[in-house]
Parts: sequence; structure tokens; C-alpha cells
Amino acid sequence: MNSQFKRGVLELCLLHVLEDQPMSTYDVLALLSEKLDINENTVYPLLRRLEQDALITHEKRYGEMGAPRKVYLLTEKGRREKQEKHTAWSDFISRVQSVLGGHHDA
Amino acid sequence: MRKERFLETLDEALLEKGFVREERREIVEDYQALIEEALEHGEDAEAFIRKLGTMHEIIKQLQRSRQKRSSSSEKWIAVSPFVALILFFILGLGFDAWHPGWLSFFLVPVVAILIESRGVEKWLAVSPFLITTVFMLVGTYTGLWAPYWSLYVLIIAFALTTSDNRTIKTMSVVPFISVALYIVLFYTQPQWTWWLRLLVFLPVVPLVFFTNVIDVRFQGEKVGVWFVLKQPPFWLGLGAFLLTSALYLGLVWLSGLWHPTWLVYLILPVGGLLYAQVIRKETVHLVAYTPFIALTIFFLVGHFLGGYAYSWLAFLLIPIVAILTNQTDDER
Repeated sequence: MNSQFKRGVLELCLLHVLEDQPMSTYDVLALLSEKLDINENTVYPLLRRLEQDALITHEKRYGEMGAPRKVYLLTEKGRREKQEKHTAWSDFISRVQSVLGGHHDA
Repeated sequence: MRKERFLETLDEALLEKGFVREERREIVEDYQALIEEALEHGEDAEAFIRKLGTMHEIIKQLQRSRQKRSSSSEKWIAVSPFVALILFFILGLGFDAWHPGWLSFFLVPVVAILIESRGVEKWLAVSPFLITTVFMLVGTYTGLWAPYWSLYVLIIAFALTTSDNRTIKTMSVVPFISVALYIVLFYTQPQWTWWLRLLVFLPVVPLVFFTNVIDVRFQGEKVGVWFVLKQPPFWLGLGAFLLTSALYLGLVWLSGLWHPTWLVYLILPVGGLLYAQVIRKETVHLVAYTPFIALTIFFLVGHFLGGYAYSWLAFLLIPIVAILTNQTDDER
């Protein structure tokens, strides 16, 4: 799959998983690498960029043991961005489906 | 690769690619936390690090995320040469101020640095341009080249503020005190021999060895490392300082010239750069050497040929070398 395309999809997935609950880099990495064929080295830089663009933010969570954990969560801007991306993605997929379906039917 | 080695290599690679101190610290801390969390989940550290990809890939991804952030600022950087050129012609044609109107070209690197650098490194990187502007304006319009040349010493203060070490950071007040004292002595003790006043800078000289690395970037490309790189071992720094001082005193004894013989002290920062390049195998761009070469030409031509009016042209060596070598880097 085209890496540019993959990055765009990964960004949407990241925003989506962080909408549900705050997650650490490790949690995001574990979840996404289990479900998608991604390069592990792309997740953290992408999280950094999303944070620089104010789409996500982070806070420190204190557990029972160990150092405080940095977890990322969606900002309001991120929520809107995710919604737009999700709509655009769904629209794109349905168009692709219609092309593939049409081609198949013909 | 072990965790500690991985984090160390990561920090070095980030430094090499021009990430500023705050960014490096944050990234290294985040990777450390990531690996520790993997360990908490029962993963093997070395296997997990392998999964993260090669160092080259990690850095490439981090650079990509960084470049995206700065893309919105590119238009300001792109437009700055035109603004500088227009300003230069307005000052030249309108006010016959070709000199010091050429200072308007400083706008190009200053805008690029202010937009692309962050933290205290930003102020260190712009300080030579700002100080030169003040020095040239004051010198040209009031003739007070002395005592205001001493403002250049403040670059060392800015360099010290970039240190991770709190003690070294605190030392940044020393150059400020020396410069203030020099200017006060210049006006209050005019009967003193000029070199006696220069003694106030003695405490600043050893501090040069504690200055930190600074990358200078132009349109996102690394064009050089300014000032002195990481500190060499203390004994080496002290030895070099003592040897240079012996050389200085020897040359003064032979020639009777305190000025511009003091230029031999430039051996120290240049030596620092050579040390970083040859011994530590760090990347030192050719531009890093040019401020020292330019300063030497400036004072030698100015002093021996009486040509301070045009010896300032030597400083153009810095952007010229930066542009020429930057092109070479791009072609690579």
C-alpha cells in the first residue's frame, strides 16, 4: 500500500482510538500493530505531530508503581478533525466500493 | 541493542540532525517510557527495540513529523530574501546608506532561525547577527567601535545558557558582568592603558570550553555549527588555554603588539571545533570555522592596513561559504 495513503489512514485511526480513551504510546502501538500492518517507528512521530498541530494533548497519569505515564487524548480540534476525516474516508470507501462493485457487475 | 545504548544513540542521532535540546530531551524521555512500559508488559527490551525499526528509520520519521510542522512558516522564510533586497535598495538608493544597509541581509538568516529554532538555542543563533547589527550601527554613526566591540563577548553568555548543567548555565552572567565592567572602565578610566581594561575578560576565556553545540539552519537545511561544540576533557582545555596564553605573551614580547595579537586566542574555539570533528567524529560544517577566519581578517586588515572601513566585508565570508556549501550538501 502507498505509504502516503497509509499514513493518512493511520492518522485517522490514531484519532479514532484516542477518542474513546486516553492511551499511552505503548497502548496505541500495541493496539494498532495488532490490527494493522504498520511500521512501529511511525506511531510516536505521528503522535508528536498531532500534538504539535493541537489535535491531541497529553497528561501524566500516576499508577501504583513506576514513573508517571504520559497518555494522549483528543482535543476539541482533534475531535472535529477526526469527524471530518472519518466522513471523507467513508465517502471515499463507498465511492471505491461503487467502482469496484460496478466493475464486478459489468 | 540494550535500552541505555539505544537511548544514547538516539540522543546522538537527534543532535546530529539538529534537534534542539528540549526536543531531544522530550523524545528520549518518551522512548525511555515506551520501552519501560513494554518491559512492564513482559516484552523483551532488545526484541522490542528491534521492533521499533532502525535508528535511521526512527530519525527519518521524526524529521518528517518536524518538517510538516514548519511548512506553514516556509512562506515567511521564502519571502525574507526579497524583503531584505528591497530594504537594501531603499537604504542604498534613498539614503545613500549602502553601508550599513547591507545589514538588511541579516534578515534572511534571522527570520529562518526565529521560525525554525526553539528555546534558548534560538537566541544564541541570532545573537551574532543582532550584535553585529548593533555594533555596526553604533560604530558607523557614532564612531564608537570601542568599547562596543565588547558586545561580541555576549555570544559566549548566550552559548552558556544552552547548557544542561545548571552551574554552567549560571556562569552566563560572567560575560555580561565583564562587558558591563569594560564599558564602565572605558568611560571612567580613560587614563588606563587599553590592555589593562581587557583584563576584565580573563574570567570569560575558560568559559568558552563549556559552551554548547548550536546548529544554524537555513530553510530547513543545516548550514553549520556555530561556536564551540561539546566541552573537551578539562585537562585538555586547561592545557590549551595555558599554551595559548604562553604563545600570546611570547608574541607580544616579540612584537610589542597586544592588539591584534590577542587573535591567537581564537585557536581555542577553532581547536574545539577540530577536536569535535577529528577526535569525536562529529559533523562540523565548514561554515563553523568562518566566523573566526572572518574576525581574524577583519582585525588584521583593519589594524595593519588601516582599513576598518572595508575590512567588515570579511564577514560576508560566512553567508557566502554557507550558501556554497549548502548547495554542495543539496547535490549530495
